[in-house]
Amino acid sequence: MNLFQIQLYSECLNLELPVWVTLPEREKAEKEGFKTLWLYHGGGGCHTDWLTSTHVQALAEEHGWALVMPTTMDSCFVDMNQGEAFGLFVGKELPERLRELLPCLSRERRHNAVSGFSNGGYGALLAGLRFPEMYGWIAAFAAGDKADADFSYRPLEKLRFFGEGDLHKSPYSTKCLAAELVKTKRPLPKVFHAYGEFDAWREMNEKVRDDFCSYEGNPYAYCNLVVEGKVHEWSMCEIAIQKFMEYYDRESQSFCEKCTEKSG
Amino acid sequence: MTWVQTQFRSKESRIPTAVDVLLPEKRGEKLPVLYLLHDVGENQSYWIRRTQIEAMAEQYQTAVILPQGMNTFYMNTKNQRQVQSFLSKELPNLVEFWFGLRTDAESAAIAGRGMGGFGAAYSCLKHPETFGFAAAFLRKNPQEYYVRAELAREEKVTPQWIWGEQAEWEALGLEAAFCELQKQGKFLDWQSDEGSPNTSWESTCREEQSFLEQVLVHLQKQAGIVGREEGERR
Repeated sequence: MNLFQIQLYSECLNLELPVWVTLPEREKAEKEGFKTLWLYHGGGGCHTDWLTSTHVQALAEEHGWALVMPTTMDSCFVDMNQGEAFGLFVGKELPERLRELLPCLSRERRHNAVSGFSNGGYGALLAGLRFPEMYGWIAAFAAGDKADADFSYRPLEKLRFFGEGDLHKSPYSTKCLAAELVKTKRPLPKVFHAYGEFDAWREMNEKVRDDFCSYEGNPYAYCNLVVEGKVHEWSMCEIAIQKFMEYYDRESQSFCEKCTEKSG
Repeated sequence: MTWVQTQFRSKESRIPTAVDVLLPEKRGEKLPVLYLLHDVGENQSYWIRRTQIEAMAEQYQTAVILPQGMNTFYMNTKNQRQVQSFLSKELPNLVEFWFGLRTDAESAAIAGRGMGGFGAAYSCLKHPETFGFAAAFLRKNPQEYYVRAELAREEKVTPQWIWGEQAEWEALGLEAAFCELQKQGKFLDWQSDEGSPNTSWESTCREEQSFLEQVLVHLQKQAGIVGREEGERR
């Protein structure tokens, strides 16, 4: 395993932040460079979580993915209403900076997937829908739309991240972003969405599913996976990330219409 | 500057190894590369922790590669630690592949303190196509001190598992080779004015800073980059 621990200065945040990167062996690179998985942690987490909580590095080595794991403090991966523009940092500045730093990372859309767990899954949806030229794929795990979240008991948290009012017509809503994007001529990312069968926020995940499935012709090539027997937990992600890599290997050969899979 | 700490298994030395890299934020057309080696009993973190190398590298817009050499004198040792092969062949290839940094005699140099000074001279001698010049920060006369097996005994390092018996070591003829390197202008040795190893950490810091400045200026000239004279700020 080639592990890089990077201290990176962000211009848009005016902050220096740690980023972990793992690279497979050189032979696993595509002609254009390494396929790259931009991997976001969950709420309250940091850049070390994916490596310490799952076997993603072994999977990445097997399937030939570089992993990029940033930390975004407690920002929900958004351009905060009271705070810094973490959404812009992870979604745009980070890939731009790392591709300069590591020219061995492929710049092709089809080789770049943004992914995450929980808040990170939501952040992955936002990044992929906001910057579709960067990412050909979104792999969102246990990810709901924050516009559907209940903030009645935590109004200060909502104010800090999103501001006041209904979020459904705002850029913080994955549904709003998806609806706006599909009207444009910009490329659309393919969406792989997984959650645990007994996830406490399953209903929120299903609203995201229903939204993507509502588009005629499945323009986002939406694929849904319900991980049997799992709740909102890292062991669900362990299964989901493996399924995504296998799905990618199949689908990158040929385009697939909307499908639904169950694990096991 | 961006600070990258890497951990990976070297194919040449067959051990997990660590390399720190300092990279300028924005790269010009020519980016000189300095390989900076630590002394016995230290590791790749020495230069970053004990000097202002990051600030200086930013001033001179130079990439700095800081490998871990353990106590091997950066040689291919008798106990099959192929650290010289790692340093002079595998690492430049990796650095070019990962970071897009060219390592060749025009754009790269190698320097170090103590054991690292020896390793720098040795690497430059063996691979002049990769390292344009070497520089050593030393407290004693290099010809007498660093090319003899007495070095190992003074530094409390067992010589046999590094380079074999003393006779084998002397048969390498490195003393003459290093003199030749110096005549060609490819070896800078910085000899301390103090002369004694028992000096304060402040004076060591000061001298190491001066050493680094001289190396970075020399590297700029070798790479044909004008406008970055000693002491000039960006």
